[in-house]
Amino acid sequence: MRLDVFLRMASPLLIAQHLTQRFGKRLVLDDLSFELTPGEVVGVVGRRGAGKSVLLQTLAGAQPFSSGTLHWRGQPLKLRHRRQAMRAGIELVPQTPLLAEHLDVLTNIFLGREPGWVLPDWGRMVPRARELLALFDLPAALLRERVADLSDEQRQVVAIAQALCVPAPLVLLDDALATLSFQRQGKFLELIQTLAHTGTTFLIVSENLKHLFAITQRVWVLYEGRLVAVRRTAEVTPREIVELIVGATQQEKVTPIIWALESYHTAQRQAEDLRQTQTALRENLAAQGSLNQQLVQRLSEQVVALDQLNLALQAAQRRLLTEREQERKHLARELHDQVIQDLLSFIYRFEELALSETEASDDLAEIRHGLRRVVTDLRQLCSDLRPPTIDRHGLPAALRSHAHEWAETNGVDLTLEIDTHLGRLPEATELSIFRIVQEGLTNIRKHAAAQHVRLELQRTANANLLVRLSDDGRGLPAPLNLATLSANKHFGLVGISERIALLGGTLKIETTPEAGTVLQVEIPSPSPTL
Amino acid sequence: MLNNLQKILRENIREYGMYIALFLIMAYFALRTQNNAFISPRNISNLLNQTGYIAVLAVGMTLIIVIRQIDLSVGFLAGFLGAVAAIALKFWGLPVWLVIPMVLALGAVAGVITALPVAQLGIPSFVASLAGWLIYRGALVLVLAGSGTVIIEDPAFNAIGSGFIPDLQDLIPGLPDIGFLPGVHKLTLLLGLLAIGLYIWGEIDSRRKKQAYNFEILPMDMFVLKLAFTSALIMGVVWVLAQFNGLSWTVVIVLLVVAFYNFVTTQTVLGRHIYAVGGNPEAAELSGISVKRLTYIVFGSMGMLAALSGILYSARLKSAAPQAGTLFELDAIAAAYVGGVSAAGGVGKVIGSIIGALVMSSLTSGMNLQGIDISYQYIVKGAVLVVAVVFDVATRNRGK
Repeated sequence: MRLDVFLRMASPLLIAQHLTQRFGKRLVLDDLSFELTPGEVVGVVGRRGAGKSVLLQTLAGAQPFSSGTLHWRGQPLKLRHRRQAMRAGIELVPQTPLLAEHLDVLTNIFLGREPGWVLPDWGRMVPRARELLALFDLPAALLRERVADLSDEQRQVVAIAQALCVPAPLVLLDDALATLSFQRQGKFLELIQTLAHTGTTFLIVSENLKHLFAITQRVWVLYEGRLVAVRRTAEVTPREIVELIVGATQQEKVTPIIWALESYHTAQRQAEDLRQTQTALRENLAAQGSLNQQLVQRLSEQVVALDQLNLALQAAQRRLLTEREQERKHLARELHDQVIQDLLSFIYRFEELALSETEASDDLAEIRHGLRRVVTDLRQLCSDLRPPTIDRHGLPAALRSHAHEWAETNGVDLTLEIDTHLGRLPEATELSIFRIVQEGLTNIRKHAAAQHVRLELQRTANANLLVRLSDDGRGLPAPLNLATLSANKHFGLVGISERIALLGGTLKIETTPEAGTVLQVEIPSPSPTL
Repeated sequence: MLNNLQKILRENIREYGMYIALFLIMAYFALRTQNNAFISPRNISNLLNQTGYIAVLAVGMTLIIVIRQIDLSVGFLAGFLGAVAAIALKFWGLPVWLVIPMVLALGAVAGVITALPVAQLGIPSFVASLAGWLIYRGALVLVLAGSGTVIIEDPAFNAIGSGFIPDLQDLIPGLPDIGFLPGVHKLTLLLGLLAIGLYIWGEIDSRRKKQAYNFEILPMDMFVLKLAFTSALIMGVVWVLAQFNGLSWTVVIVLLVVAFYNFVTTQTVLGRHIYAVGGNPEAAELSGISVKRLTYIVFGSMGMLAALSGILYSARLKSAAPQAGTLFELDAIAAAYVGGVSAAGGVGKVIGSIIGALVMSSLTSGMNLQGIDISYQYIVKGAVLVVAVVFDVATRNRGK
């Protein structure tokens, strides 16, 4: 340490004797005597109204004191105006920053402290102001912002920068850390320690004992305007300080306050953590939002793909069905043209044989009859495979012929009602309807034990095709479940519903036990103009 | 480029609003008066000379309103000091070079006296200056009681209010007449060119400085546009004036006053402190600025400008009358408000108040030329004032 610095630091910077401040009749500062040495960091604590802020305002010259004396570096110091204090080098950061709202940050920082007499020296002001903002992690662009547009924390930084912009031997901080964020508080505490090492004295009012214990050498306790205790920070505990602040040593009075202070600081810390978490969350949320969007996008792409697949599948199934019909037609023709003709030629040859030879005629006749039965069965099979009438005469004729045949074979009374204006429909539709009716009638024969059956085929008002097959049989036992039916290899209804789905139609089954079943199918018209 | 222009206009509408208003008003009257009489060199010259004594008051009033005060006494103070000047010249036989500084000093003292109760006792300036209004009115009548209207015969003094600057040939007797632009006032043109040169140099200099500190600056195209536009405007006015008798002494004085006050308010520490006091007196006080001292300075300067206004007015009329100065203070206050000075304090420019004064006198001149009845003239001017203040409030939170 250089000798001059040492000497300067050894002698007191400020000596106050019997400093008293009255507001009217009220005694606000009561006979305060103290010393401040250069480079010292002193904390001031006390209850609200104990006179902490008034002490700082008085030392800053903002409130002329009522009586007592001040000595600054050994010389008597008069403090009638703030300016006199500033000239001596006493800077104050007030509890709430007071700034010129319409002026920019740069002007505010150097307000009343401008280097240069008539014209401000920008060359010195701008770099210094930049430096100060950088210490608090604020961008240099803020210099030209109007103070009115700043946040509370930024305003506090401006107020602190005011106090630090020109070197001052004594800086008074009136709770200047409270509005700062946790990080900036840490930075500012470090800065205070650095400046204290170079000889700046700090007098700090704070309610945060942690801050005070971290950086101060001494703590002053004010109680109702009196300086009741001066303690070396190293030799005192927060508990003792709180006892002094409260002015009591009773356990039951002090403990809640310590607890409250502790929880206050914890809460402050937590609030800061929460704020950071909130920021992180907000960022996360934004990221999540975009992720969600991507997912939705992909999902909708997949849905579109599925739809296309479904359509393709339906088309394939339709084609399959058509091909099956083609196959049946082909098979029927083969059977009819080949097998039946062959069988018939065998029969004729048997007949010829029967005429020529008599011994085995009985056996032959039997074989011949058997063959004829086979031919009849085969014919029936061909007709079932591919109803011949449907190709030639259309759906109504085919239905009529089939129904008639069915009624005769099963001895059931069947009423047929077919719309006379039905006209021809696409082959696939006609075949499907025929198969649906065929299957339905088969079901009735197998399960219903019906006396009367009624088959209706007509166009509805909105030009759809309506097929209605009703009987007066036993009805269906339980609610239908296609999956169960399919598992039990009852493909009748499953086949019907598949065909209807392929035509885009709807299937409705109404059933009452012992009172019959109604099977109603509605198929969108393939040619609605008809 | 057009986008840039739109953006800058939108952001600075508060600043450019009154220029646009002035331009529109002048354009309107130029088109609507017979033979475009409004923009004839004679009328423009007359208009500027007429605005002079209100303009200097408006400059002082701007600072008064900026520090959240008002001064009602300046009208009759101007009238009273004009009368004092006339009496000093005529009856006391004092030379003009003594009378003018003396009257200006008296004005400054009168301003400080008005400020005394305001600064020391915190009495509202409205009341303090209202007392001044009554006192100076009485004083004006009192000093002229014996003589009635005093006719001023000093040619040098009268030239201040109604004379024009000499041309080159009068200044340099040996200068040959080269026949260049006959009938046009060459010195006025030269001074105009000089003003443009100074203006451009100043703008470029300040731009360079801002650039050096990495401050925000106008884009280059906008900057050039601004320079070109302002230069054209200056040249246009100078050209019109040069076609008549050239610059009048009144205009020269007003320009000097405006230049000085503009410099003080925008460049100096003092100017910053004035705006700081207007913006937040407590904050200024806490920064070691003496609000009291600034109150004295601002009121003192107002008093001095009132004296100047009185000199300009009496020199223009070549006489001092008991009615001189009536309602000057209200015209000055109106000019300041129209020119964008905020009633809330802390905001307002000297140049703006000059524009405001020009707006008001353009309205008077234009409506006079159109032969509009005086009663309607007051109503129109009142409406303009209301619009200006509403505009101020509406744009307060947007502009800088």
